[in-house]
Amino acid sequence: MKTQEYDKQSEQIIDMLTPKMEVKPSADLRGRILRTAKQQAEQHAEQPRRRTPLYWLGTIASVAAVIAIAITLTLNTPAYAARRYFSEALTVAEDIKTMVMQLSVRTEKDEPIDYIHPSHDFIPATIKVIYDEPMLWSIEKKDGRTVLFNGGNQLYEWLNGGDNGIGWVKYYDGYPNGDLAVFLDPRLLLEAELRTAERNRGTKYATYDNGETVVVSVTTIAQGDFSESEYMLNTSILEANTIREYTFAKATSELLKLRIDFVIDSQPVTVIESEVIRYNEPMSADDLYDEALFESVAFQTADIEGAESSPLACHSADEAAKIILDAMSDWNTEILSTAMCYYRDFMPTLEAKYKGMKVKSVKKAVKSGLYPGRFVECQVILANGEKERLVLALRNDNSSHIWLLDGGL
Amino acid sequence: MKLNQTISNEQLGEWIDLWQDALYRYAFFKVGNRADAEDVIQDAFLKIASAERAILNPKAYLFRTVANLCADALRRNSHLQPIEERMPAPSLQDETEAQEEQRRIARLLDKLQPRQAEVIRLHIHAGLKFTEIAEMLDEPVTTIKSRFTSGIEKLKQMYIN
Repeated sequence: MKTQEYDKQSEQIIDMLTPKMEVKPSADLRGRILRTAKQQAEQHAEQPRRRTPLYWLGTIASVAAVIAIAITLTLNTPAYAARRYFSEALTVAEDIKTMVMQLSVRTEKDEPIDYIHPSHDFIPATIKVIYDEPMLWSIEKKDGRTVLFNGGNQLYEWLNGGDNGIGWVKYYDGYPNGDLAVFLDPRLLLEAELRTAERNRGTKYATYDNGETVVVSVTTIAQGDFSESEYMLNTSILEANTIREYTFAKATSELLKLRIDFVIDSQPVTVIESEVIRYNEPMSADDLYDEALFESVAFQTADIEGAESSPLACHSADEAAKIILDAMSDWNTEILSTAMCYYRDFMPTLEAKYKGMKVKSVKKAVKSGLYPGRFVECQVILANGEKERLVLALRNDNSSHIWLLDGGL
Repeated sequence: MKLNQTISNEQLGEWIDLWQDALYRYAFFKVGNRADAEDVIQDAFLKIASAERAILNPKAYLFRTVANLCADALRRNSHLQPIEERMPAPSLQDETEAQEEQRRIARLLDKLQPRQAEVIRLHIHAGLKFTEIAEMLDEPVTTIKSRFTSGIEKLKQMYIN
């Protein structure tokens, strides 16, 4: 090993740090790597090979061998162990009546509940759930956005504005979406992990015994279609390469802790980590939220007005983007009141900024990850001459099938 | 995952012959056991074989990947003992001696800042030149040299002076 010239004392230290014995990898490591690389290359070969009778004979023999090996290995693999822990935890979770989970989440406090991003700092969040019929729940980001379902068919969502909070009332008829919502019901979470472990495609498992607890680590690749755009890559748990770590109590199989890391450039970045999970504390619907704060919020409905006659109905995302951008330029309130119904509280601010803008370029609408709509990247020149790049998020998965601006301003 | 069409199995074999031992030495003295070190090396070579774009500096890429994978392995193993069986070593005595040697060196390196220790590992254990470490870590050569000498200096103060 080469080192530069150093004084005698430094040489002594370098000698102390130099291994006194040669360590070498197993003799078959080279062969293992090359065999695995070759198998991977064959699996990913785009051109199908010409199949001769000999190929089929070989295939049948190989399949038989693989099945035999699989039966042997399945009973003693980390995936099998993971399945067992998920299955046992799921059985225990069936008896949970209430849950309070305190988490640290990389997000911004006022952004939607389904938004997390590895570049942000941690924000404390609290999830409270009453497992009744229907399930009642709230998710609160500290000093920021809260979403509440306390029965009926309305979902309340608001921003903590002290005495002047703003909020929206939406029709609610199903299970909420988004990353934090995943944690509302550990049964669904464990169920999903159990199914993944059973399929075990492209997912790696490791199990660790830590005395009184067992940790199951699940390493998975991003789901969704990123062939057109990677815009949504690493913006949600499902749309990221992740390591999900679950800690279970050995004695009770109860889920004690969970942590989710995004794997970015081979480096894990923790995005969500539970601090405390408490089960079966006495809780009523009134305990789900801060009633005084709730009373101070000015709630608005987010119904789509004039949907039937809107030019945004039955157009492609590209056409809808053009209509919306043109309308922003003229500040056509007739179109924008529908297209930007989610921005209703910010319209004066947005008008001041975007009225009079010119559209410099618009790219083709693309799909990214699991987002149900499309993204349209464009460049605009504002009335004051400033240039701005926008990525409009458009979706039409509403009952009227009209394109709405879901984000990007 | 798309395959890097520019890398043939022959090419991969050449890289394994060139750098496998140095990568293994570095990984072993970082993670402290044969099984994890071999897993890391294998994953790193498979990663370069399936890279989506051409790799301009395969040596730097491999060392960087191994460094990252070692960090993953250490994180996974921290305060935990895997349930599944470890890969048996070719010789139990050799393995034990190697692990004792690893622990002896790790105790010394634990006294340093992680960045200083990392440069020392890459220079002494992996045998990389300072210019190669600088390229791998995307830092100026002067910074790398400074980390090395300050690390050595600190140990000198503790163990000799």
